[in-house]
Formats: sequence, C-alpha cells, structure tokens
Amino acid sequence: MEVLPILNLPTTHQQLDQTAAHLGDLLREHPLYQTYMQAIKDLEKDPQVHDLSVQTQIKHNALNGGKGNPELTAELERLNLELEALPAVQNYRAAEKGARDLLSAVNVLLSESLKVDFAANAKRGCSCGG
Amino acid sequence: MNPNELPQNIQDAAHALTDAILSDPQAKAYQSAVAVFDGDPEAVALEKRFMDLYADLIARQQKGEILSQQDLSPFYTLRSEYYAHPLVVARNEALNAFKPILADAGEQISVQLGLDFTELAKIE
Repeated sequence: MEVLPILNLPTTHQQLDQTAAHLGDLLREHPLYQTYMQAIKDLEKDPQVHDLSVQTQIKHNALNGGKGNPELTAELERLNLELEALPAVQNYRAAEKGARDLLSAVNVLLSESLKVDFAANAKRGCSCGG
Repeated sequence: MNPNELPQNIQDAAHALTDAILSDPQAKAYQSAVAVFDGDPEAVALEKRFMDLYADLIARQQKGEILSQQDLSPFYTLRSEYYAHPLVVARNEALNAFKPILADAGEQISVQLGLDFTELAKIE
C-alpha cells in the first residue's frame, strides 16, 4: 500500500487556508447567499426558462450563420425580453444582486486592509495591476 | 452593502484572514513597497497625473470623441514615465510576488462557496 507523504506546509499557509475556508463557510451560510443558491436551482428546473433558453440558443446559432438578418435579430431580442421577464429569471437576477452586494462588501473589507483590490488580484494567472 | 453592515462574525473572519495574509513575507514586502511609494510625493503626484489623464481620455472617448494623435501622445509619454518610475516598478514587482498568496486565499473561499468568489465579488 502506498502511503502519501505528509506535506510540510508552512504554518502561515495552513493558517491562511483555514481562515479563508472559515470565511467561505460563513458566507455560504448567509441568507443572501442561500437565496442565490436557491434561485439558481429554481432557474435550472423551470420548464419555461428551459424552453425559452433553447429557442434563444437556436435563434442565436441561426443568426451567427446569417449576420445582419433584421428579422432574426428582432426575434432574438423578443425572446431575450421574454426570458428576462419570467419570474424565475427576475428572482434569479435579484438574488444574484444580493449575493454580489454581500461578496463585494467582503471584498472591500479585505481590500482596505491589504491595500490592494483583493478580488481583482486573486485571480489565477491574473496580470492586472493594483 | 456597506462593509460595516456585514454580520460581526463575517467581519471578524475577514479581519482574521487579512491578519493571516499580512503575516506572509511577500505580503509584508508589498505593504512596505506601498508605504515607500506613498511616502514619495513625486511618485504620488506622477501617479495622480497619469490616472487623471487616463480618466479624462476615457471619458472623452466614451462620449464619442475620436482622440487625435495630439491627444494621445502626452498620454503615451506619461505612461512610459509612470511605468519606468523605480517606485512603481518596485511596487508592481512586490504585487506580482504577493498575488499567489491572494490567489490561494481566494481559491479557498471559492471552494467553500462552490463558485468563483473573485468573479462575484468584483467591485463594479
């Protein structure tokens, strides 16, 4: 049987991982985040959203084959408006805004202490400035 | 949402995370580079001039104005001067060395959330 070696991570990195995970845990439990997760689930199982998304995708694909077709463009716009007007989509948009408000407030808090925009600079492979 | 409106346990966890991050040598080096930069009036003034000019040009462009070479030339000159300034170089290098620590922390938060924290938390 192969035994995995014990990783000798520096204490500061272990502590950092634990504190970051703890913050993630607390955010996941927040009502705004829970509402957002529920809205995603509701969106995924809504048959009207599914049907309109499929129709939108079909029109979108057709439009790519015939760019500048005004009838198709108008139809796609109508479908998008219809999709956005569905209660599940409106509910999702509102929940997404709530989750964004929550997480960006945390980002402001982190960024103030670190003197750098945390979210903008924490992306893997990010070469964005401070 | 104002950060002060966040529940106290989330504020405490965020502060604990910044304390953990700031104990890292790369984080300390970045904080030090920022302090040196902020303590140099000439560098701060150069950055302000560069940012102000950039904001002005972007605003004009967004209003539909087509910028001429005469408009852009001072911008490119100032940009070169800005990015070549030793304290800007030092701060950028320190930031690049610091970013993997930030990425680790962001990844841990994202794992718990089940989605990309850095994307949803962007300051608009």
